[in-house]
Amino acid sequence: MRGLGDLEAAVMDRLWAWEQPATVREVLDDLRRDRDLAYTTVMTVLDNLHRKGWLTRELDGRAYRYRPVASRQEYSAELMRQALDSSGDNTSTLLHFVGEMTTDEVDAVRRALRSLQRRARRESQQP
Amino acid sequence: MTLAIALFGYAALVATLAPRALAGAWRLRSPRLTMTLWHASAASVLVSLVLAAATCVTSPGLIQTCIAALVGDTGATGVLTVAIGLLAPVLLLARLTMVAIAGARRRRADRRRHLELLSVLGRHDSNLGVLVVSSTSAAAYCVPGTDKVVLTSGALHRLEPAELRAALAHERAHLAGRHHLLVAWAGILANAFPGVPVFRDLLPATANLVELLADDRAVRRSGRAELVGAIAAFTDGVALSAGLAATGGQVSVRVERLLDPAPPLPLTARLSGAGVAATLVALPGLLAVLLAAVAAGLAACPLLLR
Ligand SMILES: [Zn+2]
Repeated sequence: MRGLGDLEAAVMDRLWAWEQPATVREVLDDLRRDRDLAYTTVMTVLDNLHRKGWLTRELDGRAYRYRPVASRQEYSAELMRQALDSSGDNTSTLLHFVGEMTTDEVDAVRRALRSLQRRARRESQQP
Repeated sequence: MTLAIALFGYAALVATLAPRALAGAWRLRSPRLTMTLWHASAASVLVSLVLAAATCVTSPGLIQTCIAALVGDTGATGVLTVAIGLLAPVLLLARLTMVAIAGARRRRADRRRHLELLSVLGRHDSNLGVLVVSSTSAAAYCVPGTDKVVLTSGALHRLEPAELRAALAHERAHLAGRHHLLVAWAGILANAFPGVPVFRDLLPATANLVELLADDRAVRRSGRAELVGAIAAFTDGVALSAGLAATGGQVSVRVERLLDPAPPLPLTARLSGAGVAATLVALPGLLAVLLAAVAAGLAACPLLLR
């Protein structure tokens, strides 16, 4: 684990898995099974996630209970939408290995690969 | 005034001819040279247009005559001419700046949001030095301005180790070559002046050429067959574009080029290409100086003859 970024991921993982609001203390107790952490560290992480809009919180007695704003699937869908969009105005936002393809193109690329494999086999048979 | 007309004419010529001249099959043999020529052509047109408008200020003859013919010769025509001559380049550069700022702001916001999503959903793979996000789709990309290369678990699952090296080499070539800056600049010109062919076509041309540059580097780092294998491994997991997308056909061009590599252009061709690029950039300025000198010479003639 490296820094607060990874801790944020670990906290979100737990809150998504629990499917119910949790306090700083509850998150801390669970995280402490893997590593040594201070109460204030976990409080900072939850506070950051709340500020960034990942968590909502409600006062329950004297402590806040934190809950994810959206499910992991919804965030994943948003991430993948951005990740797979290599068209138009997004050409330079992220640079891809393989951009969008048409179905014709998919066929052409597969044919090309098969011809390459045939060529490689012929070459290996004729030493 | 001759100067302004000559510069406008030159700009129009380069703006329409360059896209055709740069579409030949030889572009695949030397993507770096083709990229240089594209950007030199675009720069040449841009500089010519600014210079042409600026020369209206220094020699307002024709515009002045036009205005005089339209509204009658009043004392204000001279002022009006200078105003137009001053305004045109200012508007041109203002449009460019506005589009540039809007684009940069949008990209920065998009990347920041993407990095935020990655920070929670991505898992750092320290062996590969990449971020892995879990998805059945196949995607590999880099986030420009950072050193982050991202792979989906679906992509990781589809690639053999050697193919994975090739795909990562391609992505790292994008980052090392700072390809996003070239694409972003092309996007500014294309969005600011979509009516000018050389600007409009600069964006798809640049986007395609950076892929060829990254492929060439990946081939040197890992191997031709590995790179083709990696591209082919993605065919059942990439986003399918509906109909003919702007980028349509590009991946098959890459694969064909990798399977049947034409030899790079000979040195003489590359040198003359570089010469053309240098001329394109220098010509508008030279043209301006030359014509100004001729005009000054002509103006001095009567004095000399007297
Ligand atoms: Zn690429």
